[in-house]
Parts: sequence; structure tokens; C-alpha cells
Amino acid sequence: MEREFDRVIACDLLAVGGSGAGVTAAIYASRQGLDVVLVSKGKVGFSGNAIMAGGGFGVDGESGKELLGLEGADPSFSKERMFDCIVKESFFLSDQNMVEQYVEEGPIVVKDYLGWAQRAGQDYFFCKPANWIASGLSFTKALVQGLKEAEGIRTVEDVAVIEVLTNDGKVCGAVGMDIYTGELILFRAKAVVLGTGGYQPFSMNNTVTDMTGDGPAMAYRAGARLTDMEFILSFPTAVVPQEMKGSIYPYVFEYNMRNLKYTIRDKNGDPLPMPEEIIQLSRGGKLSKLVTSYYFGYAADAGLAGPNGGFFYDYSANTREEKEKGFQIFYDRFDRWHRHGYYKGESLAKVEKMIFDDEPLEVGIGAEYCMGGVEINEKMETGVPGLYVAGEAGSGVFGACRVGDGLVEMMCQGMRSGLSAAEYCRDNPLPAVDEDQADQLLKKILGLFNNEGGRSPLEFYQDIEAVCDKGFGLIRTGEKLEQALKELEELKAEWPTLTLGTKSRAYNAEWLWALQAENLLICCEAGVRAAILRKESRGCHIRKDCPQVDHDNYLVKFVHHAGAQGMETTTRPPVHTKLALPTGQKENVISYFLDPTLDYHR
Amino acid sequence: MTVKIDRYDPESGRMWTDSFELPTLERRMTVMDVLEYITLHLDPTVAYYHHSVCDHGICGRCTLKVNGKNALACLTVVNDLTELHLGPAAGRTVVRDLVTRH
Repeated sequence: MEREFDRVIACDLLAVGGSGAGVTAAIYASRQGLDVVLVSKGKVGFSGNAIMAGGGFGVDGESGKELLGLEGADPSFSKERMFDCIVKESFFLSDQNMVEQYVEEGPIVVKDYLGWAQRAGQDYFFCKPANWIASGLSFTKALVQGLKEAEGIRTVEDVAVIEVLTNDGKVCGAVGMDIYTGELILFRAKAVVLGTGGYQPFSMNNTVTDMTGDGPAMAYRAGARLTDMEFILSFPTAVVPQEMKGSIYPYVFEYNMRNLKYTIRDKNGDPLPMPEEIIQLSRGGKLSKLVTSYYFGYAADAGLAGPNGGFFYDYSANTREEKEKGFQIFYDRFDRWHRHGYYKGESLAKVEKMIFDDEPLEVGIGAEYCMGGVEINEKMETGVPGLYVAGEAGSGVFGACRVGDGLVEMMCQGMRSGLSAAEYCRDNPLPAVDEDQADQLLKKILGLFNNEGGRSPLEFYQDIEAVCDKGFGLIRTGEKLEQALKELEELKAEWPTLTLGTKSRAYNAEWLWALQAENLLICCEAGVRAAILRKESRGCHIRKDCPQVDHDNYLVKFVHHAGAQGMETTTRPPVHTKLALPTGQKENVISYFLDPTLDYHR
Repeated sequence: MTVKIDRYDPESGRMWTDSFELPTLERRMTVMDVLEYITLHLDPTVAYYHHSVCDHGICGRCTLKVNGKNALACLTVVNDLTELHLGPAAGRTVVRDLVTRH
């Protein structure tokens, strides 16, 4: 069997993913003396969703003051308050043990991280209580510095890990595909950490192209469980200028140019019916992501979206001076990373002109992050011995809605997964590879080259997105979801017939996309199945036919595992430690936040 | 719009140039959008840097040659161009078609 692989790489721990989760897992495991291989689908520091980040990261103010020694930190935003906020923002669906780990261990890894950032010459904008605004590559440059400082980590880049291997139920390695050469690599490892990011089922998104659900799907096939897959976070994303589609400048403007007032209007010029009190509570902060999704979603459902599927930001209530001030605040912060007048690599000239000329700026909603993923505990264990998951590929901290920081989540979970894996590796020898499993896998992935007459995987992948756009989008109904599930089942049945136009392996995108499509399908099926069963609205799962938040019947997680006959779904309550689970019902996801008894103060 | 693409098959070592006819562009498109259109509707075998891509000039990995000059596929708008000839980035090893590596 080993002869069929082009290369064999053996190690203690295989950390998968070239962004925050995989890199921190590798660093902390290597500090424990482990022989670590870090494998990334792209180039470390230039891949993964962290390079898209526009917001930044933060810790509680207490830790900011005490652990990090920051003069400017505001300790009134305490650990306890941060915990309270995250659980309430999750609509109580957080596993509270996971939130405790985030709150307690986040500051520890952030302290190390700020050291890497400083030594990498990266400058972040600090604001209270203890937050840093960082931009994409500046964030990942610090990670690369941390990796450089760690000793002996072998890095393998542009290799997609396509399957986790187990023997007798325990992890024994993984199989990777070198994207440039098409070589298949057998990784033999005592433990594997999946830090591969989440899944993105929609065509309108603001993520990198790697959010194909590889980690959750591989873990699922290896025997782990998926949960909270119905919750996908979206936020205001560019649709104009059309060549900037997918840029996050609209949200970054909102977050940084808080002095500017604006009204959001539909295609007829009427304002979206957003109550002033929810605007007050959310605008300029990360809760705005859910709120905007809600109102954009309903308005789009009513046929009120503009020609590019968005809504119109009207800045005309601001004077020219106010607008100038807004842009000055923005550029003062972001010029440290981008050319003046640019956001990331793109010129903002057209957008600035529209805002100064009071021309309504059409803005859409793009998917960013999935709260769901592999079910893990506070040690990042999956239930499959030797398999750990960290970051967006996992689930548990943010439940039905994330307002806290994905960047802190990936690093504190990466750190913990590395430490847990180190402990595991000390007590377990390197298992043999299950030859039958490896042979079957090779047969499946190489078999794709023999198919004739089927569709291209690239077109097929886009079909999955089209099904999800139509039936699994912002505003859902039982009927549409059932239809989406039926169409996903049809696509799943079609998958074995997918046909590659290119029959050789070097940079064969059709081959890679076929494997990614299989992964995305598993994630989408889990999400849609849960969305059908969840006959209520909660966080980012908004059902037009069941608008109420129903704590009495649906304060549960839907958990999916691979059964003998396909996907099986069970329920369990979220883990709760400090905060009791509520009862009763709320009219909708907005009134949930406006209810004074929620006692929510971020 | 006619798009010419320089092709290279690493198996046979064959090099050639294909021409693709694009329908009238109804929206502003980048080279990346054009390549996506071609692989979805005209020829799925055209290889371009496609994995781990940011699409907003962040990662810098989609560099190729546009009308003779190296440029990022994700930032180059095609609507104002009268001709479009794509080739692999200069100064790198060609892997397949438009995909290169250092």
C-alpha cells in the first residue's frame, strides 16, 4: 500500500491548516518536544481566512490590565462579563465549558501572540477594553514569526489533506495531495489536529476559496460528530463597484467610521424597518452582523433588493466635514497596512466618491463564518482518540451567533489542541496504517480519473452553492429547506460520476474540487437537516415560518454522525456551567436582544 | 470579447494558445471572474491559480501575464481592455497553463 503513495512523512503530530489554529497547535506541541509537521493547503501566512480579517481581536479588560500589563485596558469589561456576553450572544447555545476555555486561555495565547507581532514589526491599533484592530496579513505575519521562533517544525505547503486515517478507531495519520504536482502523500502520525477552517455554502461570501468544509467532513468520516451546522454568520459586504464584490469594506467602514450616520434603504428608497433601539444597540459593533442579516434578509425575501442583490446606504445626513473626518479616522488606522486610498489591495476611490456625492451605495450581505463544526470539548478532543479540532472547524464557543473574536478562538483552541495532543502522544505509540482503509481511499480518489460522460466538478461545486443560496439562505422556510435537502441528496448521488477533463494530476483543479465538493456536501447536508428540525429562529438561523425563539422546545443542539444508513441526527442540551438556561419564547431574534430581562451589556 | 490563453500540458510538454469567445460583459469583471466563467462554461480544463485565493489583492498568489505584463488576476478589470491575452507569469516555472511556481 505504501508503494502507491509518492511520499511518506512520519511525525508525532500532524497539524493541518496554515492559519491561526494549525500554526498555534504546531507551536505549542513543539514546545512540548513533539516532532510536528504543519501542513497547509496554501502558503502559511498567506492562506486561511485570517488573511481576510478586518476587525481584529481582543481579550477581557481584566486580563488586559493584569496579564498583559496594558495601561489603557478597561477592567470593567471583566472575564465574567465577557463570558456572560458570549453566552447570551450565542442565544444560550454555547457549550459553556468551551466559553470558559476561550475566556481563560485566550489571554494566555494573545500574550505570546503580541510578542510575535512585536518581533515581526507589526503595529496594531489598540482600543478599549483590550482590543486590537489588525488587518489580514499583519495578523498572519505575527503567526509566521511564532512559527519561525518555534524549533524543528517541518512545514509542508500547498498540500490539501484529503482524509484522516484511523486504525481500530484511533488516528494513525492522514493522506495529503500535493496540489502542484498531484502527488499523494501518506502522513503517519500519532495525532492529528484539524485547524482547517469552516464551511461556506453560499456563492455570496467574503472568505478565501478554501472554506470547503474539509476539516468537519474528514472528522465526520473518521467518526467524530458535527453540531450547530445550521448557523452561518454573514455581514455587510461589497457588491459595488462590481469588481470589488466580496470586499468587506462596508463592514470595516461601519466598524471604524462610527461618527457617520446612515440610513439603509430598499430599491424603492424606503428605509429598512430597523427600530432605533436595535440600531443603537448594534451599529458599529459586531452584533450588527446579525441585525443587518435579519433586516436585509427579510427585505430581500420581499423582493426589495437592488440590482446587485443589496440595499442602499444613504450617507446624505452627514456634512462633507463629517465624511472627511470619518475617512480620516479610517485611513489613520488602516494606512499602516495598506496604500493610502486603498483597502487591502483595492482602491476605494469610487466608493469615496459615491459617499461624498451622496450617491446611494449598494451593499450586500456575504457569508463570513460558520459557528458550527466538529463537536469538541475544552481539551479540543473529538471523541476519536488522537483527533483534535481547533478554530472555525470546531464548534461550541459561539452557538447560534458569534459576536466575539474568531481570531482568539482559533489561537486559544489551537494552543490547547497542541498541548492536549502532546499529552496523548506521550502515552501512545505510532499506530500502523490500516491497509484496507488506505486502499479504499486510493481507489475512490484515483477512480475519479476513470470516469467518463459525467459533469465537471467545478460546475457541480457551483450547483451546491446554488442549492444553498436558494433554500438555506438568510431567511428560511421548512418547505424550501426540504427542497434543498432533496437536491443535495441528488447531488450526492451524482458525485461518483463526476468527470475530470484533465486526466493528469499536476495542478488538477477539477480533481481537487471534486474532493472538496464531497466535503462541502456533508457539511451542507448537516446544516440543512438541522435547519429543518429546528422549527424556531435562533441567532443566524432565521425561519420565516417559525420566527419565534423557542427556548422551551429548541434550546438544544442538533448533533450529526455517520450511521450505517447515512447521516444520523440526535439532540442534546448545550453544556452549561455558570449561566442557567432560559425558558419561554421571544417573538423573534431581534426582540430576544431588546428584552431588558436578558440584561445584555457588551 | 475574445480571450487568448497560453496553455501548457506538463504530461506531454505541449504548448499552444486557445481562443475563447466571451458574451458581451454585463457587469464589470476581473481576470479572475473571466477565468471562472471560462472554466464553468467553456472549458473546465483551463488551469489557473484557483486554490487558497483571497480575490482582493491580499495574498498575491494569482499573478499571471495579462497582455504581456505580470498582474494579479483578482485586481485586473477587463471591461476597459480591447484585447485580452493571458499567459503564465514571467520569471517562474510553469506548472500547467497559467499556474506557475517559484
